[in-house]
Amino acid sequence: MSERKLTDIQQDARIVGNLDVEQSRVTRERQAGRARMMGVVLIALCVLFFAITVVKVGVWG
Amino acid sequence: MTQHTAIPDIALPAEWRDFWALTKPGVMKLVVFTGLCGLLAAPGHVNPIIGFTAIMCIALAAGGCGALNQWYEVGVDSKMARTANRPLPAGRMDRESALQFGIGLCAFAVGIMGVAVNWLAAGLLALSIFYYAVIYTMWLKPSTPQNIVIGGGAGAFPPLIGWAAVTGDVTLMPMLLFAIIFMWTPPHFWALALFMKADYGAAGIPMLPNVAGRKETRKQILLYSFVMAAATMVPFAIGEASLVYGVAATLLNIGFIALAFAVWRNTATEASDMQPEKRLFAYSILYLFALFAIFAGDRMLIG
Repeated sequence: MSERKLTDIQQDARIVGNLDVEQSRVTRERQAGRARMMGVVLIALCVLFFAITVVKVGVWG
Repeated sequence: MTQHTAIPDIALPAEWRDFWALTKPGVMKLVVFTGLCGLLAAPGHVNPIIGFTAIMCIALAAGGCGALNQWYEVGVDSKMARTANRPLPAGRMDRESALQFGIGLCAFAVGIMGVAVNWLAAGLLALSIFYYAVIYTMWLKPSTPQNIVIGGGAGAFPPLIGWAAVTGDVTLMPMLLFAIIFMWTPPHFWALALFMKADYGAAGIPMLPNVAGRKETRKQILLYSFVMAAATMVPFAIGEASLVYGVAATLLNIGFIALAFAVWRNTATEASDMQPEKRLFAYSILYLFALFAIFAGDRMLIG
């Protein structure tokens, strides 16, 4: 095949390149917001799983 | 060689608030609350961390079901004023994201419930998801005016799951809690369907007022209210709840039936004249919160 496959980063660059300045700003803001929220959720789940493990193992009796 | 392939317009990524809206937070509150009451009312003891995990799993599954419901009903939602601004019909999110989000939440909730709590509760949770997403949303809702009657079972699972999370089994008492919500659902939703009749009609959903008419719906609301009231008195009658619960349930039932009578007597055809229906709908939410709170409190006090 002569056509090279685009990497995800190249595809993202093409997509972002298709957006105007305002759309790019909104896109980055939303992605950042989702990333922050996912971070909070993952940290909370880590704490919860640790607590569940402690309860299941019976460390505290 | 540079390619100049036209890239189609794409939607901007959805905000996390749109994913939150997919979970139907308003519905989730009642689901979580009744699940918590089932958990608190159950005999025995559960570690608070495990209890919290059970409630979290119920909430996540309810949220996942909300997302799956909105994924499936995007066409219907876009035709109803009440739902047209949801993330999918408003174009703020693509359907595939909603589907993946819904399936992911449900699978995660069932898995964690099984591993951390017990597999009976996880099995009931999986059954409730199937009941809501497939039996109710995909089959009953678009095809029969009895959608709310049979589909009411989907919303009745949480106290059963909460109870099973503590005891690891299902006995008569959690089945009674299931029955109470099952009987509460038709008058609650039919009151809404009466003053939202035009919306449901536009969306082509065969709700009872659209199929059998307002008069028949009002009669059915009254009949189901009596059956529901009788069901709420059973825990007291069989000695599973104290006199305090019996008196409180009686007072709440008097209020419910009085409002159902007002609905039955109303002949209005315009939504603006349906104050009794709106009052019953609002009261029914308060009723269920109060009834389950009193039941749970009563069970905790009498041990």
